[in-house]
Amino acid sequence: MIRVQDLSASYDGLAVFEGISLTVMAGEWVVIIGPNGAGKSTLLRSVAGLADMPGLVTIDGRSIKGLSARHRAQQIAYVPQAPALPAGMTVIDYVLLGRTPYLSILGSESKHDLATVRKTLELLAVSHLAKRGVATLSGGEAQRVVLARAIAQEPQILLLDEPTSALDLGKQQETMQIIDDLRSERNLTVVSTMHDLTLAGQFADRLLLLNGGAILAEGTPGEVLTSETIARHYGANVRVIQDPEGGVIVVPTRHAPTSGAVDQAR
Amino acid sequence: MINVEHSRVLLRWWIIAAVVLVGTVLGGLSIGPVAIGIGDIWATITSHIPGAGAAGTVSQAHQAIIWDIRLPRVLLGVLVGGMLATAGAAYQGVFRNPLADPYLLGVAAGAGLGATLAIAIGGGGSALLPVAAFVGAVVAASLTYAVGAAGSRGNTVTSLILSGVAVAAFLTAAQTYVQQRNSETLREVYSWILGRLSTAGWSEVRSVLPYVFVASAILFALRRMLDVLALGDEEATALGMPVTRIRLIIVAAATLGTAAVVAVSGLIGFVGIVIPHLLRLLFGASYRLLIPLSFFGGGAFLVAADLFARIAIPPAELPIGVITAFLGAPFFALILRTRPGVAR
Repeated sequence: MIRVQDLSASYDGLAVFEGISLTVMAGEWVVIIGPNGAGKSTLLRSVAGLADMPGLVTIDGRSIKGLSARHRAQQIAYVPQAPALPAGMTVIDYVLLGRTPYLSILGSESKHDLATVRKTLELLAVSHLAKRGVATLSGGEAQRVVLARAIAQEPQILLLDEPTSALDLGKQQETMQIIDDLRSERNLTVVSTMHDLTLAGQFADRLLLLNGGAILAEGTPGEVLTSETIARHYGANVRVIQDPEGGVIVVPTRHAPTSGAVDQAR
Repeated sequence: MINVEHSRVLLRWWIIAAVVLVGTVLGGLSIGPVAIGIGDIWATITSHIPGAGAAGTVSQAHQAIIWDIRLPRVLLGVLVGGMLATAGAAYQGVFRNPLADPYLLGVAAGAGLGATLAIAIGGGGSALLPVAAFVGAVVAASLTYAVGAAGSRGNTVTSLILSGVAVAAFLTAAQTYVQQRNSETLREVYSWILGRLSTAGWSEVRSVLPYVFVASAILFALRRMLDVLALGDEEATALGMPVTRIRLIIVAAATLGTAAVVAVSGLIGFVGIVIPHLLRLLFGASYRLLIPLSFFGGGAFLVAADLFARIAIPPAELPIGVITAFLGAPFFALILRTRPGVAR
């Protein structure tokens, strides 16, 4: 369980968000939505322990600031929006880096680490790419390989910043399905940021809307994704349609916003 | 179960690298104004190992050429070339910059100032020269690190590189001033800057060996961390790596090793930047393999270059820095052109 209490963030004295609190239950998938610049990535990085911001972040009751970097990395895997894919590094070597939290600084991978990585490659159906260079992969392949590195970390918590942003429609759905399968198989807790609201609503247990430095809406996709909320916070014209098969579909429409509907809440 | 090779298990490259290095060393020992056979070389070397036999059949002159002249020089070449290439690979990894070389953090300028001062004060044969060059290199790199890490907001890697540029410019200005004030030292200083492997027996080998051993051992032990660093500071931190501390240890080891070899060999350029890149083109970019291969490759390359420097225009010697670039650059260009898909 992740608990964030009274977390604030600022860059160069400019507040990004202030006094945020939230709880994510074990095994839950929470998607943080919000317009550009709302601080979604900063929130995710704070939970990963990568941004030292005032406030308290605890995992199962223990503050992440009290954990060593190694112990933190054994529990939390973090995938940035544009992960580095070093030229000349092979997929197998790249995924092996996921074992870093389990090795001493001077150590190298054991047979067990290698076996873990091979299983992970099979799980994500990328075994055939093992000898390829990570820099030569297509967007969809790269996303699977990056996820494989995160899974090789054997974390309890997966933090994903825009996991589908660089992918085509089919690969977006595929990636979300993989994450969901991993989540149920390993009882992973997933927190991700996303821009595609329909896709977010189809997979998230809960959505959090971050804007103007605060969490302004929270709840099931049906509760958060209303045309008024989206118009107010994204300045977008949308029609929200109930999907007969469950969930909601957010469709952008082409109408000028009614005056006053756009509230640049800041 | 798939059967995947990864860089940890590619034992065959180790063997090939060792064979190439040993072959080059034997060439360096055998070839010269006096050609000496492998058998004589073997007998001479083993005669110096207690209890391993005597060099009874080898003439005194050949023994002296091998043991007192060629062997220390060849071994110095291995140590200097190996250290420069390994340090270069480590710098390129730690700064994630393909243009990083062992002289990046003002090491060359600092050593140059130290050497120039020593030559101005004590003359070219001064015993002070290696000490002054070593101290100058270490002081320059420490200064760069202090300046670059002080402004640790933002990108530390970039601020370190820029700080190195500032420190190098300052020290080079000081070095030029000292040199101009003592213009009679110009030739000595210039010869040091071009680099050379001429030795006076075993003392140079003995003085650099501990530094090269410790520095290379540290870089070898941390080679996997260099792969983690390739992901960038943030992802490396997310993988549980203490980035700042590891970077400092790697930079310190590479700098100390470089300072030690520069102190006896002068500023031999090219090895530290091109050998690691050449090996990357041939064997991939993983530092798990690149660090050890760089030592073997750099050592073999410098011994071969020195051999060429000795035999090209006998009895004169070419400056080794000229050879490394004159032969190395076209070879590197050739590899760059003929390996498709690597130069991007």
